[in-house]
Amino acid sequence: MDNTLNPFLLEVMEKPGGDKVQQCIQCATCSGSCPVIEEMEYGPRRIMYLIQSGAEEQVLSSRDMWYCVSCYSCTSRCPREIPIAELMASLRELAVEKGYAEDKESQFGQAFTETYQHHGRLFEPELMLRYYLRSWDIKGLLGMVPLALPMLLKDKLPFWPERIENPAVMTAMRQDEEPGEAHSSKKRSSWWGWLIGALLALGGALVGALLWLVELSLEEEL
Amino acid sequence: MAEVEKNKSEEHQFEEEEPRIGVYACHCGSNIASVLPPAEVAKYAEGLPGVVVAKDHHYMCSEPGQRMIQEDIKKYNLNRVVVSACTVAMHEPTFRSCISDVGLNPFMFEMANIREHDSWVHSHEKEAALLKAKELTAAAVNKVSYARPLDMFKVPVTKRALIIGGGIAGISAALDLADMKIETYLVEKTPSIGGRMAQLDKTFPTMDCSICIEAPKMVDVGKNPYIHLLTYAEVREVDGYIGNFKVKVEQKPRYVDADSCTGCGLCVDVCPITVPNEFEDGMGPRKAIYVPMDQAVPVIHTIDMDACIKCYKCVEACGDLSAIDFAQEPEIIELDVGAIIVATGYDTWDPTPLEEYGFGEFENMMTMMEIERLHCAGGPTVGEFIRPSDGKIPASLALIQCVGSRDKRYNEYCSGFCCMYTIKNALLLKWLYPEMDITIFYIDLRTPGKTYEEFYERAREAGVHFIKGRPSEVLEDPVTKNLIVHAENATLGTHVALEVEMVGLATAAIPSAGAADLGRVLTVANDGHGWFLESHPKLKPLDTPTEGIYLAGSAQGPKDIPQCVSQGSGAAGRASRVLMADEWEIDPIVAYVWPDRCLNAKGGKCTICYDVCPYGAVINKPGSGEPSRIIPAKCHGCGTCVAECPANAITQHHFTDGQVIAQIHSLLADNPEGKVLAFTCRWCSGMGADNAGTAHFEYPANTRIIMVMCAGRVDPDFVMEAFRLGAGAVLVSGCHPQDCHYISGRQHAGDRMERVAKQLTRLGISPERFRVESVSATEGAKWARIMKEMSGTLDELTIDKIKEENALAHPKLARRLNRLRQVPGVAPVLRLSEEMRLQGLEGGGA
Repeated sequence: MDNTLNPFLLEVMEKPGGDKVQQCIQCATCSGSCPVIEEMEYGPRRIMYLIQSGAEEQVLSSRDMWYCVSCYSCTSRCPREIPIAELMASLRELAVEKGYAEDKESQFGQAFTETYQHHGRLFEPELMLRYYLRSWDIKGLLGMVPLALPMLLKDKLPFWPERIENPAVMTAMRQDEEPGEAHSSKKRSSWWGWLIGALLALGGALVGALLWLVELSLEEEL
Repeated sequence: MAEVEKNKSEEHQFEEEEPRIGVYACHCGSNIASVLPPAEVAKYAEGLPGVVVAKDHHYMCSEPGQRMIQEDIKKYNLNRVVVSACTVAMHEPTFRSCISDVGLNPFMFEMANIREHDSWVHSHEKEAALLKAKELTAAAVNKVSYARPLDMFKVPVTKRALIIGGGIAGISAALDLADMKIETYLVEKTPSIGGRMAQLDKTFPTMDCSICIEAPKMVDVGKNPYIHLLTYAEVREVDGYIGNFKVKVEQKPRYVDADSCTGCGLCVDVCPITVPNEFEDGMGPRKAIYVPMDQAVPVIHTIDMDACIKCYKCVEACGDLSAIDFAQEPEIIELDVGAIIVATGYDTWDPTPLEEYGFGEFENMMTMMEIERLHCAGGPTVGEFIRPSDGKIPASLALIQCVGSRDKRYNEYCSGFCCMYTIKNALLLKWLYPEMDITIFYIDLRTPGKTYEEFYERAREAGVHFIKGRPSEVLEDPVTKNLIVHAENATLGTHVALEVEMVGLATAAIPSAGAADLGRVLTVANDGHGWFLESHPKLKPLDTPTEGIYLAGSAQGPKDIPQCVSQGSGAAGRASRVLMADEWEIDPIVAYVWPDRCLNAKGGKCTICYDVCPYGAVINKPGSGEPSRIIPAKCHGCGTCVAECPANAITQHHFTDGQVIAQIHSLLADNPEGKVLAFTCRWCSGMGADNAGTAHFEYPANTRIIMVMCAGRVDPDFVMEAFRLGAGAVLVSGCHPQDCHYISGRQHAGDRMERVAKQLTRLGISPERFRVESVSATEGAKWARIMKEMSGTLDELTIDKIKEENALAHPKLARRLNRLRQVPGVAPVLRLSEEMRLQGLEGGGA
């Protein structure tokens, strides 16, 4: 059977959760179920239709898949059994692959992956460091300090990362990379990152502490 | 037992006649020709042994196509015909009657399916598809070479009909048959006929009162002398064949004597027990002794023993009539009928599993049938439309469509009539309560049918709101018990949270409870959803694959009233063809025992054929020195005994061992290691393979199909022979065991093939090269998947490995299969095939 489907649809159909996109009958259960529909540009129902009609640019440059909170309401209620939440993840991937997504959006995901691959658990300070350092956004990083410091003091953020026995297991779960190779290359790059990160964190902590103290003393004066 | 003419073919000393075969390849417009050139198939066929003439035509089934065959038969003095075209289910009868019109025996004909099994599924492999078409044609030619003329059996017809289900479809069928003066039994499992139609308030689009138009028909049925009503009864056993069915019906005990009860209802007044009435969908009450509704036919009371406390007040009230009889027992009534009409209707789906709508949890969440009963003047509230939580007339109402239908999690089909009945209920309520705010949530509105669209328009004009968007969830306000319907208005792309006082769910129609069991009793298949499967979706919508059993109404799929009435009349017409005839012709494709080969004739004590026959068609006298015999009119022709017989003493006409082996040899003549050979039954798997074709589910073209009547016919020797010839992989596929058209044929095949699989493994054949599967007539996708998998197996194992395994197994297989040569009719096939092979080798060397 010669396929007369548009190339974008075919591309999406290859991705996890994409094989049933053509089944969508626009019943609107998904958009009706979506808790963040107000934030979305189109909502899942219209995203399905846009994919079916091959509107690659509209879909991949929209913000909808980035706003999806993966609550799976749409997926569990879809009468055509389309795994919409999974599909949203695939769209995020596609958007990055094809250069539609701004760096910021995908950077966070990548920093996140690297962090958990490093320890096997999420370690928020490292995640923030990695995220802001990727884009050399020192201002943004320092901006986080007033938030982080009180959290640290209230024991809402850990000082030290929690490690699992063998973090390489997490790497192996990423199918697109060869586990061994990824592991060794990461070691080298992550070491430098850590050093700079630690220094900056220290500096940031100092600045933050100062600011906080100043604030406290000001309050006392009042 | 029917007196059956002795069949000519039973004398197995037939005159040998040199085959003169005509081969005709069909273009089927572009259906076949767009993938493979039929002219080349014809050209190839010309070179096959026995072929005198080979031609192609745009449409073989057309009048000119058929005339071409008839002229050739006369011109070339043909005695056998092969048509390479579509499925046997479609045109085998066409061509059989075509050749018999010019004096050729209709069984001197074979069809090669190069459409459903080839062009429609191999459009990507045009070269391979052509090769497959040639080989399928060669197999048909080879098979037909060994065909023998057979005569149809003539059986007498019992001029009585049985109708199962007393809804509007069954009633229409019964009245039509009675008009033809055909005695008819109408069996209904509830205490009254009437069915779903009796439960409805009004009918769309005319807004007639439903029971008012049905009740006169029900009364007609009740008093018609040609119709025997068997209510509160169920069909338990069906035996026999077209024209001669023996049916056992269980009359459940009513505990009320049907002849004495006058329906006065005095017993009901005194009965102290009240239970929910099923007829009112559980909303209204009934007593433990009851008639389901005022218009019931027959008006005979029934005691619900699960509820009865045996206070005997009813006995007292009944007085001198003394109609009440607590000693009644279930009774089996035996009926002889010539045809059966199945009109078992539908049930409505229970929406409880659909948690987001909260049915069963929220008081004011109703099904549409409950809503129907609530506004019906004969209903539990006498037509007052009130909501359950507080008994108030709701000021607003939301109706939700496609609840459980068009939903892959529950029922993926469209129930068809819900759009119309939802609109009907909305319009009715709008008439009764013009102030009521009614909103219909829909995915697509489907209103095909005469004046249906105009009806929809009326609802819009009446002020019913329509919102395109399937609600995502419904929540309840715990104080007011109002319901909040959340949805996306898909037209505007905005979110809707609509607070209403009551919600109605248009639930899916599902096959009536017991349809699957009845299917087994009748040996009529149910499709994947449980609806009864028709013989052909377009051209034989009222027939089942079992001759003499017909379908009417929603038993075959959801239908509205006019469709049910037409189908009832239609099925009556189909049945009357048989019932009005004095005798009916049935297929002579039955089993036959060679008396001298039967072990019992040599004093043995073998009962195998008798044990496996699902129809009791074998006369078996072990130890008497008398050979087993098969009663042709009782034999359904599955061939299970043929395959099971340890002495190879039984054959099946038209599917002799020789013929099947001839097919195997033709299909595996070239490159056997690269092929998947599939044996399928003609009903489920064969139709499933056809279904794959109709749906164009592609699969690799190195697959070859041999169709027999039942998987039970597949002799272990066939499988062994295929492997001896070097087959890459072999599949035996039948019905799902519970759906077998020959009751237990598939079961026996399964047991037998399990043994074969073990033997093959011992011979060193990789287990994945032999598979046994069940594919139903609707599982085309599954068929394609199995074919893909098996073809993939060949690639994985590699040709060299297969050849290696085959070489290892060959000597043992050859030794085992030596005994095949003793079977009458097989040796010449093998001899010829081996000669050809030698010639082929010489030809190759030259």
